[in-house]
Amino acid sequence: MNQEKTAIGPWLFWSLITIICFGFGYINTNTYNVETMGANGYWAIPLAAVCTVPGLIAVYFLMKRFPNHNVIQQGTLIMGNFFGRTAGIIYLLFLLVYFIVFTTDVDILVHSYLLDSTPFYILCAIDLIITVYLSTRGIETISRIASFVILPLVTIVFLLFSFIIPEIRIDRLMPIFDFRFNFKSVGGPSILHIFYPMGLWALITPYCHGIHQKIPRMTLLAFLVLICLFLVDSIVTIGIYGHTYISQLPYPSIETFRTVEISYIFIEQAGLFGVIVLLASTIISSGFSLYAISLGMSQVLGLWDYKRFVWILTPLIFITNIHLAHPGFIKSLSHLFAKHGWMVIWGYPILLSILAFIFKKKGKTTHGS
Amino acid sequence: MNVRSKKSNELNIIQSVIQEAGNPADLRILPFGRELSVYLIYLNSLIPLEKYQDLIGHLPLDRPDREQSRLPMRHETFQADLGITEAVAKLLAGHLLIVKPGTSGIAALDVQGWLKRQPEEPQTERLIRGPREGFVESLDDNIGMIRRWIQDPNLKVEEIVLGRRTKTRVAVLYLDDVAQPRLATEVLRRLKAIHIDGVLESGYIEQLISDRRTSIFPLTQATERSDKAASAILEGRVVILVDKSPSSVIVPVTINEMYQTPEDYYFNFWIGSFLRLIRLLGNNLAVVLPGLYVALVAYHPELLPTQLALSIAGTSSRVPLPLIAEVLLLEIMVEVFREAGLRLPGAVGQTLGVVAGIVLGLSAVQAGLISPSTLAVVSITAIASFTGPNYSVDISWRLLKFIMLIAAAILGLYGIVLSGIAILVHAADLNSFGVSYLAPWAPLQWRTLKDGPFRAPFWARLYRPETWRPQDELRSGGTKKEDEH
Repeated sequence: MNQEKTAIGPWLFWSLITIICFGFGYINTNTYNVETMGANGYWAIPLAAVCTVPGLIAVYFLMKRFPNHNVIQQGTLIMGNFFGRTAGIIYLLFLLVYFIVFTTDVDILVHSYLLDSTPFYILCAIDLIITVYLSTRGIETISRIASFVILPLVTIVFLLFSFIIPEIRIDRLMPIFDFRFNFKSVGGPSILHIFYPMGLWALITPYCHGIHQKIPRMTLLAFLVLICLFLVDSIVTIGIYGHTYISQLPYPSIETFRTVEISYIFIEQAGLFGVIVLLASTIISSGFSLYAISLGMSQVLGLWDYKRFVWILTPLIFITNIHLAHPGFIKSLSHLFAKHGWMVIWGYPILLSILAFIFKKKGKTTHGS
Repeated sequence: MNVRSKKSNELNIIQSVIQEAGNPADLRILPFGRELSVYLIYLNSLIPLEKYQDLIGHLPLDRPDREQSRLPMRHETFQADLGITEAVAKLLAGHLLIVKPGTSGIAALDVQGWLKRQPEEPQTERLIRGPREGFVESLDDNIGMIRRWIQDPNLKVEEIVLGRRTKTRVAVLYLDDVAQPRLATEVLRRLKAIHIDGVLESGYIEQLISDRRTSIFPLTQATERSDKAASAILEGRVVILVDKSPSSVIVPVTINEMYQTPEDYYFNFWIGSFLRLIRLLGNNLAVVLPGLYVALVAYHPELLPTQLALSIAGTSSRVPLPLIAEVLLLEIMVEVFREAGLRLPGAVGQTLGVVAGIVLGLSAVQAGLISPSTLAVVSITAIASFTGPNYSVDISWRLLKFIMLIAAAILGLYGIVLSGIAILVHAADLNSFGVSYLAPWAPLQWRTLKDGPFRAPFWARLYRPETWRPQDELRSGGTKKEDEH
């Protein structure tokens, strides 16, 4: 049996997609936004949200049609065994590589900001141990963690932003509406990357039975919170550093956090706590991603359960993490994935939903498998 | 049948009882009644019969059945026509056996003659305001205490006997129309599945019915306070009482419950909420502070105000030990003093605490073994650890504090984050009788959050916590008419 017999409620669903988007998207948000839209980089956030909607609609459509199957199983049902499995493997391999690039990026961040004298492989190993531990606990535990962490996390982030607001220079954000409406200037596809993790929802749709009606509302709520978070972050970061300087910073949003100083209440550089909060969310995101990928692998190959795949993938991820550990290389890889990732993450569900619609494919409506 | 054969029949019965009971030294056989034809068999260690002279006069010797008795007896108190094995089981449980001429069976009377303690306020759950009544070692008395709180015919008391050799009586109490029916069934199922030679304390039951027996966190709630147990029953939870144990076991439980005391509800909601927040703060300090101190001083001194960082660096420079060794050593010593203080008589324990805390601490600072800041941090941690109202969960956190401390020593703040997440993952993975251990936070239950870190006033808490999935959700408000229905 490669699927857990459980379900997640609307709040858990909301917490999960919000935290994974925050964890994945936060590190590189402003780099891509500013690169494509200059001083108006903050507009990239709502534009990216709008561009993500078709993909989400496709996943929702597929979930309604195949309530007991995730995108991997839907692929085999719609396109047949051979093509479905092949497409599923490509989809999962893409996610796996994206996940490895992301975790390496996080490890490099920890290494350069917090523990520069600790050997990199030690950091990778410890990080991976916690990620693996989380992912082997299953969807229910991961979503509970997300639910437990999300409110304090959002509160702390907004609180930290409120301390930085006086540092903003408005002239760096001007002129507000000076951007061109062509594909390149709206940030290009790379701005979409902050909402890519929402695509992982396609892998856990069978666990959302019973909350189908609430999913649009919850997704909208997640969108609103994420747009607020990223928008405030973008405005604050561009307002403090200016778009020309941001492009030289490896992690602009992290640098923004680091500017927070509340020395009058006993904490100098309180921003480091923001970094810690962000790292907590990245670990939860990583844990969920590894879970979703392993679950998909076990389904597409029809072997074992997801836990075994987590253990199988762990050494592979660890070795790749260590070998990719060059900041420049990782940045270019991240950029590549950010730019073209939408084709796989959103393209695949959209393709499947079109095919399901054309060929009138539909799954069984009874819940639980 | 002549008189002689009748007499020999009774003697045979007595002989069989003696044999079956293993001929214990405290077994007494007392001929009684007119012609001394009735025999009372009892264990002197459990029933000092000389104390029950009045009782003997009321014994139903003529016809040993309930109708003839002048004592108010329920079925379990007096049973007639028992076989030898059953009678011996009763004898060992402290019943008085009555062998009467002309009957083949044996009657048993529960007189409960053993020593009993008076109800007192539990040492570990003291309150400023509230009843001073704690459970005692007698199951019947404990059930009685609950009954005095909840005078409702829906209060169900189900009893089973556990332990092949101890034959310990265990009672399960719940409100039939409030508690989730599956919950009571599940509790009874798990209890019945216990196969053990003896149950000496409710702690045995706690561990044996736990959802995850290897977890560091307690997945049941233990309390000696009868008001706390009654409150849990009113919420729709199940209370397990064990004979000869003053600790009741409440299931299910969440981590949220571990920081609540009855006092939170006896004071107004402002004070109740404030006390809870202080408790949560104390708990967090007790777990994180030593690790945070090590992480900040050893890895991220830039986070500290310059004056403070310089002051700590100045005092630490004279200390020969590395910071982690210094903190770890002091923490271990505090644990040793705490354990020693518990085992010593009250006054001596207090003296030890003062000597250990002030004299040894100051001497160690003056000798340059530890720095004053480390001493201050460890002292705050030790005091903060006493704020938690639940000893079981406090001790778990005390253990986890060491893990966080070591993680902080290895990876600084990142270590605290990682260890914190690992602990959180473990807690999120736990269920107590189908209830998430992190409820009402995960999954978020808005209604129950009113009884979370803040205690909402009674008028705002109309419903029972949804965490326990009660059948009857309405708790206060509504109308009297609705209550009658």
